[in-house]
Formats: sequence, structure tokens, C-alpha cells
Amino acid sequence: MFGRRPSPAEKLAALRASYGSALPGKLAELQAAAQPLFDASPAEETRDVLDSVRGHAHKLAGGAATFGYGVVSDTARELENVVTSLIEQEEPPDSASRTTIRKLVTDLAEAARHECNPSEGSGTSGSQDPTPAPDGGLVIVVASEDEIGNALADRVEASGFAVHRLSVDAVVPQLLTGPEPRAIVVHSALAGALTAGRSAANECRRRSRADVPLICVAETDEFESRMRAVRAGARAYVTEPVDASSLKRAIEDLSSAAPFAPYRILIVEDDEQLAAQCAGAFDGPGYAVRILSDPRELPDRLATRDTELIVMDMSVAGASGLDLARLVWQYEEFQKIPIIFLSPGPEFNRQILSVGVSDDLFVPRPVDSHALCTRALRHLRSSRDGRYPRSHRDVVRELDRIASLLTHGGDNRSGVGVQHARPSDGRAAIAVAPRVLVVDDDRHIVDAIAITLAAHGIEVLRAFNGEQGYKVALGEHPDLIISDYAMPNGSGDQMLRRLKATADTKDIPVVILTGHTLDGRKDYALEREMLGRLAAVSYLAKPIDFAALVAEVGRILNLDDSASA
Amino acid sequence: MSEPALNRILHVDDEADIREVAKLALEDVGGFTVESCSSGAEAIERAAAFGPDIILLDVMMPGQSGPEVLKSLRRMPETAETPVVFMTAKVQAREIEALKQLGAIDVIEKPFDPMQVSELVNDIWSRRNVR
Repeated sequence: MFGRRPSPAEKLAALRASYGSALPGKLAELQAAAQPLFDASPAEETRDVLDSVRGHAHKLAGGAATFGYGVVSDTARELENVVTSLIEQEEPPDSASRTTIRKLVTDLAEAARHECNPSEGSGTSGSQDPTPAPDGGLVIVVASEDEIGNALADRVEASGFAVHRLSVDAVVPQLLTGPEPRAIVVHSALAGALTAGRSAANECRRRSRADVPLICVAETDEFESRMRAVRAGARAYVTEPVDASSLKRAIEDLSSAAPFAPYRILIVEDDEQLAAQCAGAFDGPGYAVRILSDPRELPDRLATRDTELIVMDMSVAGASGLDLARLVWQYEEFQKIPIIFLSPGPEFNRQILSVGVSDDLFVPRPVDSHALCTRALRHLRSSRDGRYPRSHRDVVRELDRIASLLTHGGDNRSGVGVQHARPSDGRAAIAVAPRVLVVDDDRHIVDAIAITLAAHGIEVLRAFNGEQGYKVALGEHPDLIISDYAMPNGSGDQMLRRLKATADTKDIPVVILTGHTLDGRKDYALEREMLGRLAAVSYLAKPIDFAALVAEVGRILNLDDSASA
Repeated sequence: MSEPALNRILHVDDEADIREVAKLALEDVGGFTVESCSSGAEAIERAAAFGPDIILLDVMMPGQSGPEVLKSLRRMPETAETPVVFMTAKVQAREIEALKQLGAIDVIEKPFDPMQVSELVNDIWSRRNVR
């Protein structure tokens, strides 16, 4: 007798189960690769160890995601990002970084324990779209199109629940769609049903919906059968004959009567594109996301009490994200709202790790959607459970340390190479750091310059077009302006003309940055135009030579070498 | 003259699980003929004999990395013109651009959806001359 040829979806389900079985081995390899980082006297070259850990994490991130092990993939990707950042900084990881790596490796093992399925066979049958949920809610029934499957689906429906019926092979994560179920019911007589049910529960958890209980209906009450259900993560084991009212009780006992409310996230970002990208990161899990482009409206928006987590850029125009956070947390009623900051880049995360501040609230730009989602989810879950990784007071203290790092270069214990600016005439260090306004429509350039100057003890103000630049200059009176030449919404030369025509700003020196060069060399005609008609004090070509920029800033602000070295 | 159809795909990835799922996706779902290689060296050795229409190349592999393999393939007369698509989990825009600068015609993001990847490869194939 010939068997039916398995469909691609069935083969895929089998491959997924096989990958799940192999996950512990892959994790063991990664742990072994990372172990030298935790040894007192590592025998191997740190760079080789980091390369190896990165390779393992990279493969896990890609492979686990392909097979639908989302939490494993997200955690591996986060580990890869951390290790990549360490490799790029070309310094051995400090204790904070090692702690972060160790934690992520542990998290990976935990994630795999949750998601890994024992390998079982797979059954067959079709699936159908979920029917609209009646008051009782929706229940996923994993069952074959046979007498047993039909009877089970009928009984769940008779219990007052809408039924979303899935075949075993349809519980591939990519195919699991529909509203949030209250429970997943499987019949153990169907081969592969327990595995498929567990996959569905994991997928619901991965999408941050909730812990959806898995209920196993079985023909017998044997020890082995119960043990298989336990291993698959079933919360209840109901032996046939099962009537509708028993099923209803089991489902209601195990699931909350209230439907799971999606997490509510507020994105504070004035860059429309970046805001949309961040919002997109939460599309998959189905969170409720709102975007706020004007940070001044933040307290009013929070007063509506529909925000569980804030995602905030560290450099919203006209405001610092750290200051905004402190403002939010001044209100006692908002102190439980976690804030994820979009940091300028991996270099920033490295810097704060190096001064002993965890970077678990900082997602570097350009934003990796998976990293943002994973990090947000961790805080959202803790927040809803009433568990906070750190106290509010500790977080504020960390922000103070970061603000200090940005403006003064941190304390000496950190070893971060920053010095306070000094006037060149040998007087004592100036009490207030010089302030430089950086204007460019490319945020990456603004952030790169800001980090560079902050590392030399210079406070940086930011604006992203000529109009904003003019307003910030008028209100803040910076010691120097560094501005791009060609920008939308008010170009550099227009801003310069307005600055020079305004009594309060006409004496502020301006350095113009421009990509207008002749074969990478200075365009002297343009230079004459800028230094002459536009009265800029200096002109630097893009791509930016940061050492030259720092030297130029030091020269114009009359800072000594210790500040600009 | 009608556009030649995509038929033969050389897929290179050091991970057995990914090779298996890609082969399943491209053969069973897409109906292509697929040759799987577990390393750059193996791909270079077998590419000429297999004669792929397109090559799907993992970026981060032990031994020769994807970009290194691409360089070697470009030096071989049999594969000098064969379109290469990188497959990678690193999909920041600048990284995609950097990979294309190396001569890849496109980049497929990992994780790929096994039920959709054939369509994606076909789409890349049909757009290969419109760049």
C-alpha cells in the first residue's frame, strides 16, 4: 500500500520540529563558544571568541526565525548586535558587557526551553478561517477532519465559544492568523496535535498576546499520555467522554474572562519616517501604537492614561529625550511607564555600557525592528506583571550619569576618553561647557557630530533644518553653529542670512558643511561665496573628517588641545 | 524573443537546516531544480558543472564568506555572468547597498518565508536586467 505524499506544509512542519529538536545542541555550541568570556583567565584571543559568538548568534537569529522560533531568534539577534558592537569598538569587553552577554545566553536557553518542541509526527487536514467570536471568545481547535475532530469542534462550539479549526500542518507560525484565542484545545488521538498546539501557544506568546492555555483532550487516563501532554505544555488534561459544560469550565478556569488588551505604545518622534518605522515594528504583534510629533504635548497625552510604554528619540527637535524622560517621571502617576530611547547608534550604547549603565532602555539607530520589539516587550511584560527590572529611582540615576557623560564626558572611573574643555590662555576649566548647535537634515550626521563633540566636553544642540536652526540659535545663543549647506525646509545659506541679519545672532560663528566639492576637493569658488557673502567663518567638505572638524571647533572656540585632541 | 525561464538554482549555506528548508521551498513549492552546497569551496567546485541560472549565497559562512565566494565565481568564465543573490539576516539599508556594490543583483532577507521565497526569487530573476 502506498502512503500519501506529504505536502510542502507538512514537510515544513516536520523540518520545523527537527530544527526545534536540534536547538539545544546549537545553544550548547554557542554557550561553549562564549564560555572563555566568562573564564577568569581566558585561554583564547578575545577577538576570536567574539567572532565565534557572533557567528553562532547570527546563524541562530536567521535559522530560528525561518522556522518560526521567534523569541529564540529575537534574543539571538540582540546578542549578535551586542557582540558586533564590541567587535567594532576593538577593545576587550568590560564586565558590564560580559554580564550582558551572559544574560542573553541565559535568556536564549530560557527561550529555547519555552519554544522547543519534542519531535512528533504530523497529521493532515485542512483549515478554515475563524468565525466571528461570540461573547465567550475564540478557541483554536487543532483537530483532523474526521469523527473525533468534528465531535471535539462541536463540543467547544456548544460551550459558547467561536471555533477556529486548524489542521496540524496549518499551525506553522506564518499561517497562524486571526484574533486572539482564549484557549487552544487539541485531541491527543491526532498525531502531532500536541506539538502543533504548543506551537500555536508559543506563537501567541511570541506575538505578545498572552499566555494562551493549551488543553489536551484524551481517550485514556494513562500516565504516559498525561506525561506527553505535560511535556507539550498542556495546562489541563481532560479525559473522554467530555461534555460541553466540562469543556467550558476548563476553558474559563484557565483563561481570563477579559480579552487580552493589546499593549499601548506611544512613539515620541518628529521624524515621520522614523516614527513610521518604529510603529511598523509593532504591527506584527498587533500593539496599539500612537505617534506624537510634538514633545510639548507629551504630559497632556499621558494624562489620557492610555500609554503603557513610551518609545522616544533621544534627540527630538528642540528637546533632549533624557530631559523629556525626567519631565515625564516628575509626575508620580507616570513613574511606572517605561521609556525606550532611540539612541544615536551602537557607539552610544557601547559608551553607556562602559560606564556601567545597562543599555536595555536604549535601541540604537538605525532601528532594528526586531530589537525594538523585543526590548519593548520585555519592559511591557514586566510592567503589566508589576515587576520592574530596576527601580524608577535607579533609572533616573542612570539617566543622570548618561547626561553627565554626554555633557562632561563622565567621571574618571569610567575610563572613557573625554576631557573638559579649557580656554587656551591657561585659565581654570570653564564652568559651563561650550555649546555648539549642529544643523543637518541627516540625523545620522547630527548624531555623529554630537557624539564626537560630546566626547570632547562640548554640549550639543540639534536642529534638522534651517528654520529650526534659526529658532534654536535665537533662543539658545550657542557659541558656534555647524550647519549643512543644502537642506529642505530652509537651506543653510538662508539660515545664515537670517542669522546675520538678526542682532542677537549675527556674531555667532558658523561653520558650513557641504557635499558640494570638486572631485572630493574643496570648491574654492563656493568657499569664497560662503566666507564672503554668507559670512561663515569656516567651510568643511563632506564626507566629514571628524578630526579636522574637532580641530576647527577647538580653533574657533579657542579651546586648548586637551579639549580637541 | 521570450525571456528565459528560471530553472536551476545553486543555493549555498553552511547551515544544514537552512539548506533543507530552502531546498524544500524552492523545489516543492517553486518547482525549481536546486543544488545545495554547504560551503563556498563546494559551491566553487560544483558551480560550473551544475550550470545554475542564479546563485543564492549566504553572507556569513565559515571559511570563505559570501562576498569572497562571489569574487571567486566572478573569476570563473562559467559563472562570471551568473546573477548572484545574497541571503542574510543583516538587512540594514546600507548593508544591502554594500552587498549590491559587490555585484549581487539583490539581497533576500533572512528569515525568509518558505512558502513565499520561490516567488521572491522569480521576481528577482525577472527584474535582473532592469537595474
